[in-house]
Amino acid sequence: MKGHERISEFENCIKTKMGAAFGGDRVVFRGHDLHHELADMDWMEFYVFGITGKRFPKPVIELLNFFWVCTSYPDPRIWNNRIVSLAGANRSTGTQALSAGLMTSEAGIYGHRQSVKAVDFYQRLTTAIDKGEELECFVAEDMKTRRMIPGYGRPMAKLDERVPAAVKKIKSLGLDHGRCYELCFEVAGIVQRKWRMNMNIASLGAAKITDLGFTTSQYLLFMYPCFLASMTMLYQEAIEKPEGGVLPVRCNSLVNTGEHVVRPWLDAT
Amino acid sequence: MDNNIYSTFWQENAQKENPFIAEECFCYGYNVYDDVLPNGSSAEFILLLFSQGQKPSVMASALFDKLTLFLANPGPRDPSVHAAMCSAVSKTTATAVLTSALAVGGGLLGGGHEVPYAMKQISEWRNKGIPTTIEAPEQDCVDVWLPFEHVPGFAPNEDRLSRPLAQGLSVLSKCSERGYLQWLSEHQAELQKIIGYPVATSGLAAAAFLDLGIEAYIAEQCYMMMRLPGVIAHAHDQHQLGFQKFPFFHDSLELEDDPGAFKGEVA
Repeated sequence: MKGHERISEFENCIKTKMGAAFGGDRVVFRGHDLHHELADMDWMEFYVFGITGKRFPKPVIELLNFFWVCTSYPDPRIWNNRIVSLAGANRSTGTQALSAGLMTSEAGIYGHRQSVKAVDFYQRLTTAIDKGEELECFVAEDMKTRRMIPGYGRPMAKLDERVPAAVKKIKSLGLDHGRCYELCFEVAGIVQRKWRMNMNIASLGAAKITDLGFTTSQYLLFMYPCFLASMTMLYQEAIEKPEGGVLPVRCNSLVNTGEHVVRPWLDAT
Repeated sequence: MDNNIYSTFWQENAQKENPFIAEECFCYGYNVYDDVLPNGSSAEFILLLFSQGQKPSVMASALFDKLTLFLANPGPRDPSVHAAMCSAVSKTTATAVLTSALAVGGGLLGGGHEVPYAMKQISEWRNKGIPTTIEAPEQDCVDVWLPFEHVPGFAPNEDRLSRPLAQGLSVLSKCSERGYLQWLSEHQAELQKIIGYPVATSGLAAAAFLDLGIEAYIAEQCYMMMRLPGVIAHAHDQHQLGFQKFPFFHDSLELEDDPGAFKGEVA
């Protein structure tokens, strides 16, 4: 089909398998009655069921929960968090603050862009190994062509305190197995030896997530609220401060590095 | 690392009594409030900001003005405006209205993220010639963005160049200092023949940004910004009319996996 024919069938018609609200009667959620069949679900289990359509065993849900808990840093200096604090200090609403903070968490130097790329890395890695490629060659080639291994290095620290905590948690849950999970430590050894960079939680998490069968899109949706808990705290503290009381910048702290001479507007060409 | 904010073009001199209030602001060396404000126009000042300090020519200012007008109102059927109207009838905050429009209008179909890709393509086609086949660009690395499903800057759901687009190309290409809009205007029919669908608003805007010398990262955001006046006007319209006058599509939902009424015990 071409042109407007591609969309004509969707005019006044939404076909869905996901669910519907029959107001005053019932709500269907992925083929189940929301209030009578799903209302007792743990929210994490429910959230992941919504994203994947799968029900995961309790230890997996506990691990996913851990990924959210261990990424909740109530530190207003971190860029996405700082937006929340600034929004609070400037008296935006809590929803506006949190929405902007979460949107920024889809970041390239930290956050979800790294996570998604790390899942893609493990998916490509396992396919390459299946085709007979050597692990070390794959990692070296990836570093050469993409100039990075996703989930390695951090913008403000050399080591990631979440990695040993995650390894301990994964072991305690009996989940310390899986192809990508095992590969991630081999990759970590290669990257450390060759480029002196350390694995961060994005790589470790992506390895476990890939083993669980999440796609990159599903992982992105799962990770979306992972910084939310600490952001709520930052907003509340910011609204308790005087208006504008988060990191005000004095004029002298703005440094103009441009070498532009002062010039008149009308005489300029 | 210190706690200073570094800028390549902006300077503020503080009031003597309050270090947090600027007495004078300079943009690329121009005194903004004492000189540009009385003597310049908004188009000139915004172009100064977006063109990295190049004071715009008369023709560039005219093109910016025409582009602002051309993009100003996508109309209430546009998905980004539709989203903003959903916010408006919900009686939510003004921030939500604008953010809804940006979230929908920043995407890969008719949205801001088409613009940098369209700019790259138009520039390449003009410099190296139009290839015999043109497909949607392949994603070289998986990202939070989905891959393109159509050629950026072109409208896959349209059959032929619309009159507003033809008018836009005709009027704006008269201010085409660097020739990109002129080139697009001359080659749009050939491109449609190869691609299978016509130039989109984002494609016209991409050529205009190339003509204005605005770089891709700014152009993407400028495109989204320029579409907001219509968003605001239509959101206000629906805010006044209310949700009861706004379509809910009551009978339009077809649930394909309906278990029916719950058969178990209801407390």
